[in-house]
This record gives sequence, structure tokens and C-alpha cells, in this order.
Amino acid sequence: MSSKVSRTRQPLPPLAHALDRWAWGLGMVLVAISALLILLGDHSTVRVQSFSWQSSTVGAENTALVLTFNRPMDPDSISADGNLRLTPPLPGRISWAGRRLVYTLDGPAPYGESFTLSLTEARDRLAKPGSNNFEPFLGNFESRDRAFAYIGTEGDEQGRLVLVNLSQKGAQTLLTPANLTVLDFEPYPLGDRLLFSAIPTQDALTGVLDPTLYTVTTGLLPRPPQDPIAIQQAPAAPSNAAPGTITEVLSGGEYQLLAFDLAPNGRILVVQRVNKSDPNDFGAWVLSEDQDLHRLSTEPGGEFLIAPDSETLLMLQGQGTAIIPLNAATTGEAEQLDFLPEFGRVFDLSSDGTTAAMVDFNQNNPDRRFTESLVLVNNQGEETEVLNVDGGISDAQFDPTNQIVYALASRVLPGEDYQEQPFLAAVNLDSQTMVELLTLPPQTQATMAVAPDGLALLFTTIDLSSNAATGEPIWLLPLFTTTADRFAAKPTPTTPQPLPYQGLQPTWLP
Amino acid sequence: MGPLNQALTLFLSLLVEATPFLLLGVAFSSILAIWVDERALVKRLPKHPALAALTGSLFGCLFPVCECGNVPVARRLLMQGAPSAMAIGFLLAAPTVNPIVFWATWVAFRDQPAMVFWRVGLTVIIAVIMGWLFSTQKDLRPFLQPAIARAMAPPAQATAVESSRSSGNDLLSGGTFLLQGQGQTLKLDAPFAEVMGAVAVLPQSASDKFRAVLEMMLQEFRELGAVLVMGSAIAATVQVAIPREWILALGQGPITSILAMMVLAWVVSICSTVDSFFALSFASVFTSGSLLAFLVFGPMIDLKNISLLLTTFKGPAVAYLFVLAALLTFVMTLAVNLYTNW
Repeated sequence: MSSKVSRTRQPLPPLAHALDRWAWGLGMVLVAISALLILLGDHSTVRVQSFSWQSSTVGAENTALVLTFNRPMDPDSISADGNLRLTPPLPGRISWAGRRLVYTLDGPAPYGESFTLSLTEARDRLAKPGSNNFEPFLGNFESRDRAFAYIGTEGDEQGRLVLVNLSQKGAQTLLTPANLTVLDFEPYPLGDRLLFSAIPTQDALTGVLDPTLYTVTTGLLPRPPQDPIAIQQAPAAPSNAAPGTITEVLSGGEYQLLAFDLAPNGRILVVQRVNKSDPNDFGAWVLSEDQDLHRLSTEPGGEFLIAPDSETLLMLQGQGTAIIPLNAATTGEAEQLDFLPEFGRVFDLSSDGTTAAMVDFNQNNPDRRFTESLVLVNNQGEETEVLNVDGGISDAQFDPTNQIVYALASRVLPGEDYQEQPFLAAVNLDSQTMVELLTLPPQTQATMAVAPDGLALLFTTIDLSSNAATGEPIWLLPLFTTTADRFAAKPTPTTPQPLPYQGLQPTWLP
Repeated sequence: MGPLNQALTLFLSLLVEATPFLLLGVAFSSILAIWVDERALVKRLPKHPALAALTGSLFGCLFPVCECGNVPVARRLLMQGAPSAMAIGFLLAAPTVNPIVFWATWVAFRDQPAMVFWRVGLTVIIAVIMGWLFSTQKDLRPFLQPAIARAMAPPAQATAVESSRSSGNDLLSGGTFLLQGQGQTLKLDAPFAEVMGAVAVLPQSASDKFRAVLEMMLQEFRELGAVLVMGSAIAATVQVAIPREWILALGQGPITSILAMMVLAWVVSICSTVDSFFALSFASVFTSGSLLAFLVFGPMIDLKNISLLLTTFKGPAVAYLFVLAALLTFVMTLAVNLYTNW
């Protein structure tokens, strides 16, 4: 009892408890280790922690690569025309976001090439002058294969999808079987699959037209980079390597499929269908990855196109073009976002979704009756006429940098017989200057497709005056003669090269 | 916005952020007290200090609480007779080693996934060292607040029940007593934990137990809630008095950045469930080691939960926890900064 009293009354000697002694001991040891660590100095190296495009396959939509460093860096120690080197060269600009260096390309990387990126020296922000503790970095990536698909017209290829890979010496692959006749097709965003509508070949002979939608794998397996600064992540890397694997997407049933469009993100599909037994039951339906097929509650319309944001639909309705939100299908109310009454056709939208290339038939302008105008309409409602012809405008496409619009149009030849002569023109959107790239023979019908890297286009022609619709090859037209022209967005007329393939609707894989 | 407004906003945001976790903590603590038989619990726990500390660290996966909710649970573990190494391991590691914090750190540092493993790894190492250290003290009661020490069984002696439910000798001392059967009394104005320890064995049926849990939760929440209000008020005042810019101006070098981020973690007292998003905003200008120091040290000790710790531990024990956890974090993250390329 007495010892207890003395323990509570008298102050304890310092470090009386085991815990006190151990705690002070550990504290001293830790202080000593800290001092030692500080005295021994910095032994770490500054290095590139990650490179967003390492070992991946980039496409035209990948416009910026990101290098993440392990330390905050001195921005002045890295320059685009100095120590940061891309081989072959890809011009671009450097910007910084904290420890990330973002290199934005001036234009898409040319397809079918392998690139290396090297950074030999750099300094972190706190480096002492003269210190060299940077670990040189070497990265590599490649661009997607330069490839296109077409619907064959000759021999074995008749009515079948054919894939041509120009990056593999033009190797051809028959994707669909002979018992299906392909009517239309569209590639998925990574080019790993094609969406196509087809009918059984025996029905093609009897004239019954009840198409089914399928997908087919192309055998191309790009590895898309995970872009750390992108708002929308790239689609998941495909896994099926065998080309020609067919999956049914949507069969006709009680409806007949008329047209379809695949959203640029590959996740939403809009189809136009009509009830086989009730022609009044006609309209657009939406099929998305996470939802079953449902009707888009809007007025029936004509041609349609899904915008680059994959969330809005442009559809010809009555005398103009309506802009309809696609997600309205889920909420049940499709309120039109806008209606452009003057424009009868939409050909293309710029990849940033801000500008549409449309046709004005000039019906409200008596002076310009019977002419057609190609008009660019931006999201501010500003309209710019870039081309006016007395024939017709049959197609217009933006180049991937949105600096040029290519148009396939025709003019009426003087003379007693009415004859139209098609031509291919390129309009630089900055300078509003037009260059005629190619003039085609009179009375031909042509189609065109601009390559995803914007370096060439494919076109086909059909002679309307002769009945034989076959025999014409697919043509390749290079658009630039020098790299300087390319970055100045100045296409130059060149001689088209015939490719050893015959078919319809040649379409580049993205 | 005036400094008073700013302090009030900070105070309320700290309080709003911490209260649900404190509630969760007292719920776990009460369930542990009523439903878990301490003798069975203690029998199953590892005896070796390092193993006990490791077990305590990993308990966070069962009780996902942040640094405001772990104090009541750690206190309960001590009162239930769990090894001190385990309670300390739990106290330091549970706010970090739990699924919610894993996930939040993973989401925040998506392009630096190693951050999750470094964070959890260093936290467990520090918790084990600290648990081991506290296990050198065979009888921890001199380092605990009297209320907790009384409720706690002396090493290898009688249980808490006996210390509180006496056979009448307490009638000689003053206070309010409840006469129990067979001449026993229960001292009603004894510290709460002591009373609860005494009655905890009483409920038998599930509904009784449930009611007892609720009552205990309410009591503990009232007690610790008041302390949390104080802690939040102090943290808010300090944050207004010492602007963040001053702390960040301590430096961005491999050594100074760690100090800056540790001081910042201590002052802002942000919950471990959301601190990775806060740290992310500094990721562009601070070294990885300093972010790690923020993420490891912040959940262990901060300005707000020092007051909560003082409800359980006496000053010297809190000082040891604070200083040694800080030193361990500093040494480890300094080694990360100076010797790894991560």
C-alpha cells in the first residue's frame, strides 16, 4: 500500500517505463538515419515514367502523345526541334501540364509506319547546374495499317467484302462468304471489324430484298493507346485475330432494313426500317451497346448521319436537315436541337463536330436557280459558301485536320446535249482557295474516299453512257507532293494511279 | 471571404466529412463490445507483438473507418484485452489499409498505380514497428487516460467487470450507486467506459443486445463527437492562421517537399477516404515521395484527431505516436525520393 502511495505522489524518474526508453531510442536512431540519408545525397535518376503511346498503334484520332516524368521538370530543358526527336519526323508543339509533357502533332501520323521517340537529355526543375542525372529515354510506336475495303464486282469477289492492306504489299483478303451478297458496309472505329448489310446470294437473283446486319472481323488488331488526357477513352483493344468471323447484329424480322449508320465511337447504331406489312410504320431505330433496339421518336426522314460526338443525329426531314439528340430515345422525348431549312443534304462533319458540309439547292434564290452550292455551316450558325456549280455536288469530305474540304461536283458542258462533267476539287478553308485536282470524262459517276491520314484519296468511276458497269479499277490519288504542302494544307494535282482491284464503294479503314 | 467565414467553412466541412466515419467507428466499437466475447477474442489473437500488430493493421479491411472512426475501435480493443501491439497497429494502419481507401487511391492515381502499394506497404511497416514498440510496455495503463485504464484488465488479472462491480467496498467512497443483487453495487457516475464494461455482459437476447449497442453508440458518439467538434475547430483555426501557401513554400526539393507535405497533411486533417484526390492536385509539382508522405502520415495523426487520441492516451503516449510516426514516415519517404526512380 505504501509503495502505491509513493508511486502516485512522487514524480517518476525520467524514462521510468520501458516504452519511454524504447521510444527515445527509436527516435534517436531515426534522426541519425535521416541525417545520414541527407548527407549521402540524391542517388535517384530523373526519368520518363510513362509514355502514353509506348508499343501502341495510333490512328488519326490520336493527336497528342504524353510523356510523364518522375520529377517536376525544367520546361526549357526540352525542345521539339532539339533533344526530343521523333523518327521519322512528326512536326508538333510541346506543352506542359505539371510533370506531363504533351506533344501535339500538327497533323495525323502517316499510316503504315513505325516511329521512335528519343529524349537524350533533360533537367528536373531543382537540378543543380551541370548535374546530369537524366536517364535517356527511347520509346516506339506505330501507326495503323493503310488499308481499305470494297465490295467486289468481278469473278469470285462478286458481292463479297474484300480487304486490301496496302501496308502489306496490297494483300487481299475475302472477308465474307460467297452465299452472302453485301449491299453496304461501314468500318468500326479501330478497323478491326466491318458492319455490313447483306442478303443471301440466291435472293439477289430473285429480287427479294430483306437484308440482315452483320459484323465481320478484318484480322487487323491495332493496340490503341490509353490517352491520359482524352475525355473519351479509346475503344477497347480488339482480340479476335481471325479475319472473316461473322456475327449477326440485326435480322429483318417483320421490318425491312433500309439504311444504317454506325456512330464514330462504334457503340451506337442507327437503322432506318419499314414494316413489311405496314409501310406507314417507318422510321429510325437506335441500337446501342447497353440498350436493346428502340425507336427514335421523331418524324420519319431521309438520309441521316451520326455526328462525331456519337450523341446527335443529322437527318433530312421534309425540306431541311434536323439535328436530333440520340439519347432522347432513352428518355422518350426527342426534342429537335436545331433545324436547318435550306439544306437538303449533309455530306460530312468535321472531326471536331463544329462544322458540317451541306448542299444548298438554291431554290429560294431566283438568280441562282438550277445551281447547287456547297456550304459549310458551323455550330455558331455561320454559313460559308465554298463552291457553286451548275451541275451537281455528289460528295464532300473534310480532311482529318479540318483545314481542307474535298468535293466531288460536276459542271454542265456547253452544247446541245445535256452533259455533265464531274471534277474533284479541294478547298482550303483558311484561304478559301479552290484547287481542281482532277477532271473526269463527261457522263461518269464517281465516288471518293479521303484517307484517314489525309495523304491520299480513293475514287471509282462508272461510265453512265455505256451499259457495262464494270471494268473500271479503283484509283488512288496522292494529294500532296511535298511535306511542306501537306502542313500548309495545299493539295496539288497529281496523276492518279490505278490499283489492281475492281469494286464498289472503296472505303478506308479508320 | 473574411478569415472568420473561412474558418467556419473549414470547420463545418471537416465536421461533415468526419462525423459519418466517427458514427461508423462507434458502431463497430459498440458491436465489438456487446457481441464479441473478449476472452474468445483474446485467445484467438497472435501473441507475438509483430504478428499482433500486423493483424491489427489488417483489421482495417474488416472495419473500414478513417482516422476519426478508428479511435473508438482501438480504444475498445484495448479495453477488451487485445494486445497493445494490435490496438496500436489498428490505430495507425486501419485508416489506410481498408478497401475504400484502396479504391480511392487507385482511382486518383490511375497513372501511378504503384502509389497504392507504396502507401499501403509503408503504412503497414510503420504500424508494425509502432505496435512492436508499444508492446515493450507490458502494462500500458500508465500511458492511458484513467477512465480507460480502469476499464482495462491489468495484464493477466481480473476482467473489467470486476473492477467496476464491487462487493460493497465502494460504499465507503462517495458517488451515486445502483444496488445490484447479492449485495453488489454499480457506481453510476463512474466513467462511461467503465460502466459499459460492467453492464456489457448483461444482455442475452438479440433484441437486448441490439438495444445495448444503440445505447452504447449514443453514449460514445456524444462523448467523442464533442471532442471531434473541438478538434475540427482547432484544425480550422490553424488552417486559417497558417495559409497553405506558407506550408507549400517550404520547398519542392527531394527533402523539403516531404516536410511540406507532412505539415500540410497534419494541418488540413483531411479524411483518408478522400485525401488521395487532395494529394493529386499537388502531383504535378511535388515529388512522388512527398505525396506518399502525405498519404501515409495524414491518416495516422493529424491536428483533428489528436484530441480524439487524448481521450484514450495520455500526453506522452500521443507524443510518441505523433513524433515517431512522423520520423518513420520521413525516413522511409526520404529513402524513396533519394534512392528510387519511382
